[in-house]
Amino acid sequence: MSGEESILLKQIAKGSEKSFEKLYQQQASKLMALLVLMLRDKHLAEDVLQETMVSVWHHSDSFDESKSCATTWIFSIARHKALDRLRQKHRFDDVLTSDHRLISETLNNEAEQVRMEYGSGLMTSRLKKCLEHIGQDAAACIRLSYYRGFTHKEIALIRDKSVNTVKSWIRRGLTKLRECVQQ
Amino acid sequence: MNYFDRQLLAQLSQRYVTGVMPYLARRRFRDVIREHDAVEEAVLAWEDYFLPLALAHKPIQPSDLVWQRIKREVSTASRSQQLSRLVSRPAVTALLLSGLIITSMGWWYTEQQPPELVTRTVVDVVEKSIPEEAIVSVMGQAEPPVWVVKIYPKSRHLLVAVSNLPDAESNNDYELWALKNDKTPVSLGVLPKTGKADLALDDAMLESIMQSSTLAVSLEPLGGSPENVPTGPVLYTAQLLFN
Repeated sequence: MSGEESILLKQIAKGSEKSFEKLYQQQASKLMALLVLMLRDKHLAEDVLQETMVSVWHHSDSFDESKSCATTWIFSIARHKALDRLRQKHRFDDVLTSDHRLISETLNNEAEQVRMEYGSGLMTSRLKKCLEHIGQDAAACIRLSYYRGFTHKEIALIRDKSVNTVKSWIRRGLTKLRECVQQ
Repeated sequence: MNYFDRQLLAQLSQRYVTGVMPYLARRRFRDVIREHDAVEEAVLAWEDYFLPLALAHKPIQPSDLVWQRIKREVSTASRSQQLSRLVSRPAVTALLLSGLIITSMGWWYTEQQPPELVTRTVVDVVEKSIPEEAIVSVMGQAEPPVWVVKIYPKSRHLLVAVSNLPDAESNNDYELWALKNDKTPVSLGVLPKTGKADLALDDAMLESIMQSSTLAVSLEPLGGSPENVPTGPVLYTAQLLFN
């Protein structure tokens, strides 16, 4: 999947701006898709995209293709920067004092599905189907953890369930979701 | 916490990757990732495992401004880094020249060789130390030389570091010129008196460098020559050797 990206990263590590631009052209729109989903704000997503690519430029020499593929490495940077922003943006106190009903509605598919309806892209439909397949509770917890950075404890409060239940849903749900998406 | 306990490592890595780890714990764990290869490998394995979730969305084009901002940010930062590497390279600072030599990897041509230049030995040393695209200039007859200059034609900038300028003129500036083969001088910018500088090269400057056999440094009013030619004394010159 990312043999070319690995080569580009090696060239970027030597200072190749041309390779950097090519990598950006290949990855930017896919990164944006993830970042917009996580951050719910296109401008903020663009900020994090910028931070991600600058990090890629500065740390490309630390990429080791024996440890991961290039796409994983790049997306990992982006996702964790987004999670950091989310953790800064929503503190646990804010969650407790928020309107839980609004949060529940958001979690219970409607807003998520509208946001995920980008078009007739195969992967998007597949993800939607897979999220339905693993069950509403697990799907909601995964959105909150993987895409939104909430902790087990926070999710448990939002969903009004025990922490152990949440952990179990997330653990099993992620495994099933991944298998489903990859089919 | 024993990060090398396999079960614990797997658990922590998964929690980190799935996003459920609290903020402060994430930051601490990130330090651990940086410090321990085994932890980094475990984390990346989970990242790889969940990558399909990250990729399973319809692409969204960012605005054109994003790339412009990225370019600006990396251009400024990376040139400083390159300059730091430049002045710390022992091979470059070991270029103790009587006179000035500018060399370019891949091709050389001598129009004339001042008798004081130790050309062949210096070129050998420089060829071993210069990155592929750089044109290096070492300005000054003292040991160490006054300025070390590296020209990067492909990325259109020039990096210069002051190596030895103990009696810098405070009421004047030092300006760098490329002398085209027809002797027309083209300014490449004012040189720093201390530290380092990164000077962008426009089309005219690049063209003049490629057409030049000589670089020169003149003493000018503060801010550089008020005209498009040297107005003060030429203090240093350097010859281009194309291999």
